[in-house]
Amino acid sequence: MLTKRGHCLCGAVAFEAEVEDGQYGACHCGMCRRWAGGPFFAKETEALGVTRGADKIVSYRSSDWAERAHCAVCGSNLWYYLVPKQQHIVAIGAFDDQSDMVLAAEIYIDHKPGGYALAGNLKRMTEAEVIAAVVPGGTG
Amino acid sequence: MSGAEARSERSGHCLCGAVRFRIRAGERFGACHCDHCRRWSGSPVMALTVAPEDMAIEGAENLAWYASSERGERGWCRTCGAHLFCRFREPGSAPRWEVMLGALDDIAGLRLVREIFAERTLGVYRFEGLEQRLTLADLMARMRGAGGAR
Repeated sequence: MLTKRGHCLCGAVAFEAEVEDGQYGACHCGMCRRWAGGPFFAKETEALGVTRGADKIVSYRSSDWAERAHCAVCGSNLWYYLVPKQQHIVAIGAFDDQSDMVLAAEIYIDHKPGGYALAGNLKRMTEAEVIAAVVPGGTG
Repeated sequence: MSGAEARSERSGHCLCGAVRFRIRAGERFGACHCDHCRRWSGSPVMALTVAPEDMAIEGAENLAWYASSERGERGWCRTCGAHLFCRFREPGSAPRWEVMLGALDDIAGLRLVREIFAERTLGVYRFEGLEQRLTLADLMARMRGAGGAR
């Protein structure tokens, strides 16, 4: 387990999080791309505490199961919050030290538009594969 | 930016739909890996350059802006937080907007050709098939070569 600190661009919001390892993923789903301006690079956390500026965080309920949070002052994307799991999936750029972090996977690869592509030997999962992996016993 | 590049009209909007826009722009876009862009978006920023006169925005009152440097501001939807634009005023060049790729409704025909601040990827991710990869040192050398900025 790694303890990672992070903050937004203007510094109004800061946090501390526990992550299992330094491997992270990129999401190409339509909502992530619409929100982040491109593929969303993020890391799931085991625990997260806001250490500064909780009153500056704006959360937008983007689906029945998720919220997307940004800093009201500078607009930095902070995290995608999975409501049923109470889990913060944090924007990689918000972490202060990324020297022990590496892109390992791309999800919703079947939603990635043409025109750009990430190189390398990454684990690549389609929407159906992601859903099968997170929903026990099927693709419900 | 070659004058011969084909330009087309495109539309876009934020995640919640409070801000909508139309642009007229070329087909080649860039990626920026600088510390500000990555801290802001969480990821490298991919964007299409648009002249201010080629932008039309509906719901601009729902935009929030943050000046991340003396030369540039970043704009997002204050409701859903979707990243939409950066606008720059730099000495010696015409004002320009950068429109976030993800905000566009359709990117058919667009392609990533160039990245800047390439050294900031820390070597842990890489885009395929670019025509140009420029580091900070390359950008500084170009500025000096152009006799500008210093």
